[in-house]
Amino acid sequence: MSVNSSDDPAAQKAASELNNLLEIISGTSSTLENIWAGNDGAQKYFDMLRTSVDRAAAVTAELAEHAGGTNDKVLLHPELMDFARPRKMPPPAAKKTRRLLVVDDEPMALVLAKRILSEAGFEVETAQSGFECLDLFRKRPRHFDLILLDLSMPFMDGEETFSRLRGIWPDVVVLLSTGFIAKERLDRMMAAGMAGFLRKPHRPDEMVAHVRSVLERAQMLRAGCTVNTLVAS
Amino acid sequence: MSASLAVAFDQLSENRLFEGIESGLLDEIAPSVRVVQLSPGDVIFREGDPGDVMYLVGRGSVKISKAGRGGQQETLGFIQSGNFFGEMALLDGEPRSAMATAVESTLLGTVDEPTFQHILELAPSRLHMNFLRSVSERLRSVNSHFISEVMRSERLSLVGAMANSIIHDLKNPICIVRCCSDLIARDTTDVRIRELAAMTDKAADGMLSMTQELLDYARGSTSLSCETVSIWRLLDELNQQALQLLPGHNVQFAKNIRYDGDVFVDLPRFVRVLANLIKNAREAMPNGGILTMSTDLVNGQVVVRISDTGIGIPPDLLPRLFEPFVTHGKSHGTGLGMAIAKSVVTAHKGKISVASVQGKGTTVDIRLPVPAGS
Repeated sequence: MSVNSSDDPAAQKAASELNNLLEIISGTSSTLENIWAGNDGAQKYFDMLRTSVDRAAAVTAELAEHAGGTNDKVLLHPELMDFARPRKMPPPAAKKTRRLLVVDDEPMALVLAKRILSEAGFEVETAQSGFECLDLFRKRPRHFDLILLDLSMPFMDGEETFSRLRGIWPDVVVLLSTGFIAKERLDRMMAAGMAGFLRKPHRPDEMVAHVRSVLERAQMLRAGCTVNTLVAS
Repeated sequence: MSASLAVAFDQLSENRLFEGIESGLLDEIAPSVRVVQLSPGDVIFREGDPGDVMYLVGRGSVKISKAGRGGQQETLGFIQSGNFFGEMALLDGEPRSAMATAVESTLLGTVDEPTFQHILELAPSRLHMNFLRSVSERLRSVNSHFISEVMRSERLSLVGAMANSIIHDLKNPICIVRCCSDLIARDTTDVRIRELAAMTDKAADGMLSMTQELLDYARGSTSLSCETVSIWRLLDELNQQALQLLPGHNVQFAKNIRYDGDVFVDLPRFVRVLANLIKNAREAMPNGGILTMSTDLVNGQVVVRISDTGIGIPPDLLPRLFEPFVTHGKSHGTGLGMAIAKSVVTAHKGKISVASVQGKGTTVDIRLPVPAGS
């Protein structure tokens, strides 16, 4: 699309807000679907809901792209990307519970993310602002294995929070999750050491899979594995 | 002596200092008394000036005042014609303890120390008597002033005690509201009702801490329960309590967090002070503007600043800003905000100051000690 309206803040805001809401609708419907699993009568309606959400998401994606937003759905930091998921991974010595900090100014999004990620076996803490995130992180910088960070938050957005987090501990693993981000801004943040990016709305399994993938790769990177040693194994 | 000065001295000779002194003696003194004519508002001497003469009021009147709290002049009394003042400095050689200003067109006679000694020699008993009488009168007036001050503060403390009991009684219903909303939240799975209950809880907590604040103020004490918290925690609390109110008022928020370490504060009370300052800043910008909050480490102190680009505070109000019941540009409010701010900051062993330029904006500067071990 050649139309350049990347400086249209109203469209950007609308895209962001719509995606945030779609994220909540999609997450809620998946959670309900799990609760009602096996009920054939309900399944039909959940399918309708999902189809509608997907269609709405497609429209919003167009709006977002028109407003200069990235159309990337999932991104990994190049350094992490080098670790193509090996077919045969040596099993981890002990399955340690991974600790996540989810940061979002939308309480509903926090409730959902906490539920979904806890059910996937993670230990989840939440923060409702960049300030709270920094307060929690500063006390125990090595406590969290990954921070799932929202971008648009009032007074202290995800970008500033991210750079402050890096200031406290440069090796912090941050996964950005947002409904809208301008391409250049995303590039800038990825270049600054963001571990990954996940565009809202995403299905719960997508979120869990991406969190797992970032965690695994970050762990390997930290353990000093190189791409070669992995290939060799 | 010129005719007019002779007339002037006639007026001075009626002075109480000279009561009962023979006119022959007065004629002898007259040439040494210098006559001064003053216009309304003329300053005769200021507090702290060296004192080497006393004054007789021949005509008009003189105001005696002293710098009070905040630097403004508080009137101690008026010296009318026929009376004298400024004798204390002459007796004890100390600098002036108060300021004297002509209230109206005033005629004064000045008596320097040698002249004063001379009069003492000429009419010792009479002069001592006049002096004693005047001093005892002034003592009586000061005494009654003092007693009425004591009674006023007694009344205030009565009000305090009353507030104390009212506020104490107010706590019970607030606690009941809080308990009920907790119970309601527990008995429902409805997210919205839970959210409303949480809001009720928060409002009740706010009322509780406000009543506590009033109670503290009425008692004149500030009991703090301090903890070490990060600047981020402080900002997070502020974010929840005050910052969220800003966008609707067309106020931009800017922050310069250059110190992001710890502070040792009573969090709820300190946050209330900052929230109150932010509210003031917002109200000073009815047409919008920029509210800046910054934190720095300067000379081993944590500096928290809140500035606005608002209407500013009139210069004559600035010195009294931290006194209770001083308000500016507000139709509501208790007028206790800044007084409480000062008492809370002082209780934290900190300092608070305000700089303001009318039409440009106001900056409040709070300095706190850096917590031990950080």
